Amino acid sequence: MKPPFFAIPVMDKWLIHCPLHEVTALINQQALEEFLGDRPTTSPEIAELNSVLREPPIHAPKPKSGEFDPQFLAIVTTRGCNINCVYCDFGGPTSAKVHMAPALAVEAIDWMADRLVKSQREEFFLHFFGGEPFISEELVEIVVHRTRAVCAERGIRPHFDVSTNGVFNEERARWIGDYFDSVVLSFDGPPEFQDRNRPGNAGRSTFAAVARTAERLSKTPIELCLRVCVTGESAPKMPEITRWMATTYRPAVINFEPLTENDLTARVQLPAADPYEFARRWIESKKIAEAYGVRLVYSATDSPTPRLSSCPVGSDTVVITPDGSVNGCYLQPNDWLQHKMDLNLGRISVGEGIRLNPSQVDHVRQMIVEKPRCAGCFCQWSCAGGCHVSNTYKGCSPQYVGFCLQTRLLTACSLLQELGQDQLVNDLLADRQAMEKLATHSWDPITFNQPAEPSARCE
Amino acid sequence: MNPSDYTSQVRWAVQINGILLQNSDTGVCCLLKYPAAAAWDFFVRAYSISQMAPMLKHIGGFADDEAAALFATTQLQAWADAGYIVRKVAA
Repeated sequence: MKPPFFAIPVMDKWLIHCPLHEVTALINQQALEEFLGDRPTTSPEIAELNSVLREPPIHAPKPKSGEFDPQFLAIVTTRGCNINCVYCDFGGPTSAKVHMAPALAVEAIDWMADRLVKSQREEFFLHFFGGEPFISEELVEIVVHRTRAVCAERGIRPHFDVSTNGVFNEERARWIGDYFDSVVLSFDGPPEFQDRNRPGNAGRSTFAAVARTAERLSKTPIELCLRVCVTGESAPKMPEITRWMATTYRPAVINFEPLTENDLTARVQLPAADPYEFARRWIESKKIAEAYGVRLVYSATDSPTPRLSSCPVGSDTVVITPDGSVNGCYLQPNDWLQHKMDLNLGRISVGEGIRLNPSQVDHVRQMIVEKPRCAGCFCQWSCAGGCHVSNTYKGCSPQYVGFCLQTRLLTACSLLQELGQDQLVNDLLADRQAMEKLATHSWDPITFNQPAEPSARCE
Repeated sequence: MNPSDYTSQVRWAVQINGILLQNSDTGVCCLLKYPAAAAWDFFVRAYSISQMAPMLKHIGGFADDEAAALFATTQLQAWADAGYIVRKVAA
């Protein structure tokens, strides 16, 4: 059983975080000792806290089991792309522009619809991914209309969303506005960042095209999310980028995710953001975004309830790739194989539908349970280790990496803000030593004297 | 029948279960269900019958491109008869 109770040092205080019980508290050193039962307490608050935490937890996330139960269908229309992002680890710039056969996509849609009817679900979530999905224009249109047709016939509500680079024409933007529910538009900011990180062919600028798309989409009813990959170069400008995006494009969401360094980024000398600066600027940006009614998100902290995975792996996600593979992850097989992982769940073929390999399904479901790097971290029920392939793969070092440090800081700040401790957040972010103490604290789990054995109160 | 010879004469809106057409003069509405809804989407974006057919084949489960093309042509004629689309006036 993963630990349910944590204590995190915040300057001279302790943040008690018990996500399964939905309990968070800020206490001092003496109260911590009383809370842990190391010294007697006369405080009714501490006694109450102790008593609440001895109750069975409200949440008890478990790996999936039983019937395969996908939450959404992901279609990788092509691995190819029409631009050349310098950090792309999905193979976009180098992959051939091979498109999925429409008959294969239709097979997947029908299979998913059957599943949804069988499990009495009322919504069909379909996510397009690439490469760049819209270079497979015909296929996207077929998939959207086929899904809508099947859903109409079966009384299910379709939801379409897409991750796109936005390099397409006005007519396409208008069509997306008519048929899609949400769009995640990768847009790294002003030209100095967008064109440095996400150039077009032969190094051409993509800024104007993407800015036009953002503007057009902002005038449609879709939920627009601007996803910014933050580098060491752009991190200091996060607040400015937030204000500019919020006022210019009025998105529903701005998503700042830090650059993950890889061989490609090393080649172009693109540095990752310092995790402490990223956290500081992110909190600063959040206030600005809120003032404009925009939600600022960071995927590792963006979970309303405790979870075992913050990505599709282990969640029975079905990712269909152009070659007919059914995978549990968007990344390319080479990326898994590098870390001795197999995230293939089965195959799809025309006329035979999807054939899942049950032992693989089970293997992938269990893969997310044990994460040595996360064992001592209070974020293990929210971040849950981030990307299973590139961050918390089997055999990775147990030490925190930059991603962990910023996630720990942002999670703690978010919890403190929920407690109304905005001044403490400001003080923390102004004190590098205190930030480091919190971020690098290697063991957060706590146990009481004679702890109650937690078991689920409800699923 | 060539789609590019025709133009839409109605207001239209994408609905969950199809496409809603509304006669601008009378206000009368008509819901196009699938696969006709997809044909309408292709028509308003000026796709030719030969462009539509292979896509409609997959959307509507038609046996082949010819069957899908016949469906699209029949739809266009029906929309013309109902006054939803009209022949473009030569300049």
